[in-house]
Amino acid sequence: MHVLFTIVNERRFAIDCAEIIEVLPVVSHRPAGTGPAWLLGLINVRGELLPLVDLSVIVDGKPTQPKLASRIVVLRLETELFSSQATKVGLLVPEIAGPVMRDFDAAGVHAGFAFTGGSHLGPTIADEDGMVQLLRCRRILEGDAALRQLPATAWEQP
Amino acid sequence: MSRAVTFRKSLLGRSLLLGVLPAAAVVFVIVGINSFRAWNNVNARFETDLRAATELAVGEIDLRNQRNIDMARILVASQEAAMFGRRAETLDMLENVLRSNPSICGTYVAYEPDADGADALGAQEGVPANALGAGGRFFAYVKRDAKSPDGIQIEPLVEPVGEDGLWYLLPKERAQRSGVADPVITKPYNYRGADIIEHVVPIVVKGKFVGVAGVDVALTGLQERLKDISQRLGADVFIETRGYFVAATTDGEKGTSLRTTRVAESLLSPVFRDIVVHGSRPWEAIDPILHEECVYLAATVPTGEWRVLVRKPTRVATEAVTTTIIGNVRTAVIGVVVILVLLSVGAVSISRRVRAAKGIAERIAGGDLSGGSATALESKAATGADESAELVRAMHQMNDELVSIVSAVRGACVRLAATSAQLAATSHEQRATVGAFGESTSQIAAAIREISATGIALQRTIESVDAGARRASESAAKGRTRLDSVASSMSRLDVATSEIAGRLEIIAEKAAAIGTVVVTITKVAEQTNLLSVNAAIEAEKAGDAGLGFLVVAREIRRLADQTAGASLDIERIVGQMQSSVTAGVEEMSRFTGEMRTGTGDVQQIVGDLGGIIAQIDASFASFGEVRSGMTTQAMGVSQIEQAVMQVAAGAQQSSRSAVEFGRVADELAHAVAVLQDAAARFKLREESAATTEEGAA
Repeated sequence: MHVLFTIVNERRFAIDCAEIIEVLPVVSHRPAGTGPAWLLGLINVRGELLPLVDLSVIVDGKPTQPKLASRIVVLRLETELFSSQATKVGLLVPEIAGPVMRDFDAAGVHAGFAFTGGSHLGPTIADEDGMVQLLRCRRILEGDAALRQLPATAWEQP
Repeated sequence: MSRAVTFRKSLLGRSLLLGVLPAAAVVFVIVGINSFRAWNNVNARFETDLRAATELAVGEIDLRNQRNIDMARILVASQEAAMFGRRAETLDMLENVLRSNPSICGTYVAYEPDADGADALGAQEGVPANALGAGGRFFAYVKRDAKSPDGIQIEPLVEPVGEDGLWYLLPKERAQRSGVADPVITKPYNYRGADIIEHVVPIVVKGKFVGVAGVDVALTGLQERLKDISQRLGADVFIETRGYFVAATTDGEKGTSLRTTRVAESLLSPVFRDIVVHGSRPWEAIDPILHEECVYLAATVPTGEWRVLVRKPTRVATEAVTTTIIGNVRTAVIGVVVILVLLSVGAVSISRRVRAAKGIAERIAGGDLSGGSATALESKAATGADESAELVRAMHQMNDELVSIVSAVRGACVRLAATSAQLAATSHEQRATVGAFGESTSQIAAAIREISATGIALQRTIESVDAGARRASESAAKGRTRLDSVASSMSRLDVATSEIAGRLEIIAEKAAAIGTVVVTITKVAEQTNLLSVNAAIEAEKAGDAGLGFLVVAREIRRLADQTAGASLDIERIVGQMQSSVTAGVEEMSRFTGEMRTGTGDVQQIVGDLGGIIAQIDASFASFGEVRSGMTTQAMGVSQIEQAVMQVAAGAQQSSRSAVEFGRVADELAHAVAVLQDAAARFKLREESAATTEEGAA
């Protein structure tokens, strides 16, 4: 599959290109004011309001430091959370590289990673630049109870 | 000054102490030593006498015993040779021996029962019955008897039983035990009214004891002989054997006879016990009979186991010595007393004259030369011929001489006192004057020294100022020349700086223009990059149809990245250039301002230096004049100082002389006063007369 790499705190993660709509430069967002730490707020993408999620908080626990190479990756997520509808989410990443071809299906199973709450982390493989782990972006929203407490209107009726 | 002289320190006392006492001591020491020697000699002689007496007694007794034993031996020898058993011949022989030896009082031969086998025969021709003992044994005793016609009587011996039979039993026992014919002298005992001792010898025929033969000796003879010895020596002699007294030259206690008395029962028994302790040495003890200190000496008679004890009271020895010593002491005491009396007479006479001389000397010492109070004793002491009288006369003469000397001294004293007072006054005045002069001189000298020091210091200062001014003038001239060239260089620098500043400003403007272009390039590159990413994603989504496009998108993206990197570099470099140029422009403008100020200052300094040089040149002439003047002044001051110093030294010397003079004058006055006092102490004849008159008035 083709993936786009992003590097969070020197760890490489891969995002499936099939889930990506487009890559945007960092634009200003309206802060959410409540909710979990990884939910930064709302952004305006060509007239459409999308939630902005900070990948660094999810995988590293610390907010992304703003820099020139930072990008917003607009994802299209197939999730059952919102009545089987596909939804769009903006993911703030420190930097990107790719797209490149990587085969994550041959990675096999690694012991010790099947714990609850870690379902957004996919299989890990090694290439010429070191280890890289696949992000299951769809599960990011599924795995967190706090997101479900948000009013559905905030997502369905922008 | 008269002072009581104790007897111990007086002339008489001393002569007694130093003359008589040592002499007396010497005399007494000699007497003591002599007495001690005499005492020792007497003791030694006493002991010698005692030994001689003892030896004499022992020799006498031994000789007697030996002779008697020899007679007994002759009897025994004849028996053993041929006469044993021939009883009649034996009786004849006993009678012959008795007759020919007046010292013995009896002879006897006794056989053992039936020793010759003739007992059964009984009395027969030549052998009367009274020569036989019990059972017919031969038991003959021949003794003197004044009653019988031929003076001799034969009678049988008493059967030997108990202690009285020892004369027979003792030799028998010894002969049977040893087989040797050993003579025995018995203890004295009373045999039928006579005190006798027996000298017995056993008869041994063919090794068998068959009887004894012996002689009796009366003790009276021995007793008389011992008394002779005792009287000659002044000592008592006691002879003892087997626990009995044989003889004694004195009686025992309470007039009892010691003879045939047991020693152990007599009072002398403790003395005899001591013999064992002292052996042949003399010893001293309190005699139990005489109750006084006695010396004892014991000896043993070789023949017959007798012991001789000689006793002599120590009083006998000490009496003689004591008499001698008392005589010596008496003589010594008389001699000392005589010396004492003679010495006292002489010393009293000398002492009287010496006391007179002492009286005169004390009077003179007290200042009385009048001689009015001369005592009668002193006048009397002047008569005489010995040295002490001469001394008294000399004292009188000395008195007269002193009178004339004191008179002369008094006159001289009065005159000397006047002179010394005058001298003292003069010296005091002189000392004051000289002191004042010296003080003034010292002050002048100090002032001059200060002037001189100041002048010299000033001169040195002027010289250094002069040299400094010359160097300053030279330096100023050089400085002016250099400053002129500095001023022209600075003017040229000012122009160049202004040009550089203008060019830098142009560079700054161009750099700002480049910055704007670079920002535009960066933005374009970034957008291109994003565009290519999105294009790539889209191409991927398009699947195989989009593969070619994906390659192109990727290439575009690489170019865009390179462009962005290059433009970032340019932006950074241009930024640095801009800040450098801005800083340069600011530095240049500040430097230009400073340059202009500096040029003005330099020109001002050049002008000032010119003025300084002119003034220094002008001052050189005045400095030269001042210096020569100072030198002349310093020399003058130095000369004055030396002169004043000499004057001051003279003044000091004068002052010291004046002080010394004054001191001498004072001493003289003092000496004269002392002399006057001393002279006044003496009282002359006319004065004493005047005093007497005054007292009378």
